[in-house]
Amino acid sequence: MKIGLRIMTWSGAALLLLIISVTGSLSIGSAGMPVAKVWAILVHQLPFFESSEPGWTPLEEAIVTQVRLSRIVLAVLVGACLGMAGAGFQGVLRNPLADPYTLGVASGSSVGAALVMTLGLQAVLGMWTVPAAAFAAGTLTVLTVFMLARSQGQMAVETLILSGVILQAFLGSFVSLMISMSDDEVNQILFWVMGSLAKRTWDHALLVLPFLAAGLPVIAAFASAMNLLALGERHAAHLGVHVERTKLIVLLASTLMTAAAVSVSGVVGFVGLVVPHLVRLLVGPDYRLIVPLSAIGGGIYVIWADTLARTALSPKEIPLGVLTALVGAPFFAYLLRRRKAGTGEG
Amino acid sequence: MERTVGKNRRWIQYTALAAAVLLLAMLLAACGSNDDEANGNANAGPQTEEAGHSGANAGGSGEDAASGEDAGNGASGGNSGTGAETDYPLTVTDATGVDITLDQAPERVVMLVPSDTEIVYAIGAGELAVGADAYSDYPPEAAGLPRVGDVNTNIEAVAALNPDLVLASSSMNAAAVDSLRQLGIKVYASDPQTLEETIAHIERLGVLLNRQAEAQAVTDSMRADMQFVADKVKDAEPVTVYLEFSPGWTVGTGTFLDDLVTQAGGVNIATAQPGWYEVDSEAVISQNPQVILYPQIDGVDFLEGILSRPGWEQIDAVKNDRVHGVKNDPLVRVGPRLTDGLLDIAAAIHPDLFP
Repeated sequence: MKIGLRIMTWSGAALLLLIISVTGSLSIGSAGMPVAKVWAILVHQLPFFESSEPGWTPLEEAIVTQVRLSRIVLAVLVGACLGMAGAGFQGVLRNPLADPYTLGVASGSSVGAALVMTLGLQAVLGMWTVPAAAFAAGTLTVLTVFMLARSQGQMAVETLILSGVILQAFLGSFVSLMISMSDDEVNQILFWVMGSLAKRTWDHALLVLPFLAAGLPVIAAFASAMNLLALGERHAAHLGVHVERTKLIVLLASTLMTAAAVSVSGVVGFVGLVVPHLVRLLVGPDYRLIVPLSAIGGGIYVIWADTLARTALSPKEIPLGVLTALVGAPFFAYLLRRRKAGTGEG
Repeated sequence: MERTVGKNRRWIQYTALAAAVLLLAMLLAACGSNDDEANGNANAGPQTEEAGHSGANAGGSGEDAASGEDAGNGASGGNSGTGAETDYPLTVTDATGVDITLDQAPERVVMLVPSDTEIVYAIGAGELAVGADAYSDYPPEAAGLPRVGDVNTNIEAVAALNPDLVLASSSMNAAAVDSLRQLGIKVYASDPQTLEETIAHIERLGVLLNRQAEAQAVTDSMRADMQFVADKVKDAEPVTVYLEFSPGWTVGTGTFLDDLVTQAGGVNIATAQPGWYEVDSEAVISQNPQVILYPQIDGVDFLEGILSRPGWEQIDAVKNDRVHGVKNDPLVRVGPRLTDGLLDIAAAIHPDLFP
């Protein structure tokens, strides 16, 4: 099983990089603790090492094991959801410019969140009001796109993308309207649309985890089908792929993961677009590799973007979505240039 | 394939048609409201000319102007000991560095920020107010004023009211201030950053609007409150305070909230940065504030958000149950109620001194 070995090797390497990233990010923060102390605190958490005399305050321990760790775990989960959903969208839409937001999840979620904020209903379900509204509105938007694009039991890829783009523009104008009507000193809607992992809790991570855990095997199971889809839907169908079923299931799974991620983090852009492309550059066009590696790669990407967000102007936070796009946009331009240079199909 | 393409195209056509119809409808609506504005202007024109006339004749026939004069006279007569009459023409320099000359006491005043509305009513100049921004909800009398937009000021709506003075914030209404001045409307812009500056601003408005005695009474009471708090907290241990006025956002140096916390006998922990900013969670924890303050705003549950953050259970303020809500409006409006906010904060920081 050559491919099996390749998956193991690459995933192993990626997981190692992920662990290094987590430890590295844990060591950095505005509290300005020396790295040695951070590591002592971490080692202290491991079984068999608890006995040593702690040389730090409970406050410092809370900063490492609660504040930083919870945020990093959430960054990994959000990044993994977005990275894998991006791979899924690009795979079935057979479009290199597709990303988790192509079919309007982000715009829909933004309308949901903005509506709740504009009407001042943030506390109806406690701290879960905004995530719940965002998730529901985002999922609903994609279902609307499916309905718009569906004809005679089929969803043509072009129609899907077009419907998504149109609905995005339509919903985007509602968000702009609500932003312009807002009177707060801090425009909550604007900052939600820019995405952030600041001031989240362990519960936020627990909310995203099941979506990732359920979505990963589903999308991985369709990796071979997505490889064949790259040949074109008709060819794939001849080779035994249930084209419509593959599209529907992969898009639904990707949408749910994206909606879960967006509902807790706001709109974090470019991760889902850039990470699958980066992975593709490294390992080639095989989706059996792209899908798991995009998940891990997304996690790493968001960890470092968020580390930058919380430390670059410390103690001031920078919106996460600003930074992911700041790194992602030049890469996007580079991709476009490469395509223009005539490397053929992307 | 052929079919879907055909469908696509038809769909685009429908969408384009719908968009065109929508656009047309909006255009028509805009024209309609333009007409209304124009009519309003046409009506307002002669009226204000009349008002100007009666003002010039001091005690003329215009009903509004006459009652305004009476109120002014009555008030200044009652307080003749403390307040002086303003001499017009009066030239003042505002926060934008522009000289504004008032030839006579303003009679039609529009306020673009709620704090100025509160001041105008507090110094007994409410009868001069002819319009305000959408958030001017205090005092209750201000609720009936014609609205001239929110943070985005509707320039036409202001012009239609034909004000002889517009009060604005140089930071929040910067664009509107320029636009109004281009129309030849007199705008006095301010931007008080501390309690002292707020008091000075109130007294300045007392001069501008010829309500010096009333303004003096307001600021005397504010100064008394400040002194009351200063006397109480002067020997108290300074208390470290984290102030969160929007979820995750705090205030740094150079803000009136920072000033209030300091005057209330507290030490703001977030002075590493100027202005208002979203603060990193671990920066708050490592400072370990003794008190956490948040504003009480309808529909936002600050407390749950603060208490559920990972690691925050280790902060002294949370451990000792010293996370307090304070009334929002007096704190965020640089007006006469700012010292109410000061008292509120002081009581939260030093509950033993303010029973």
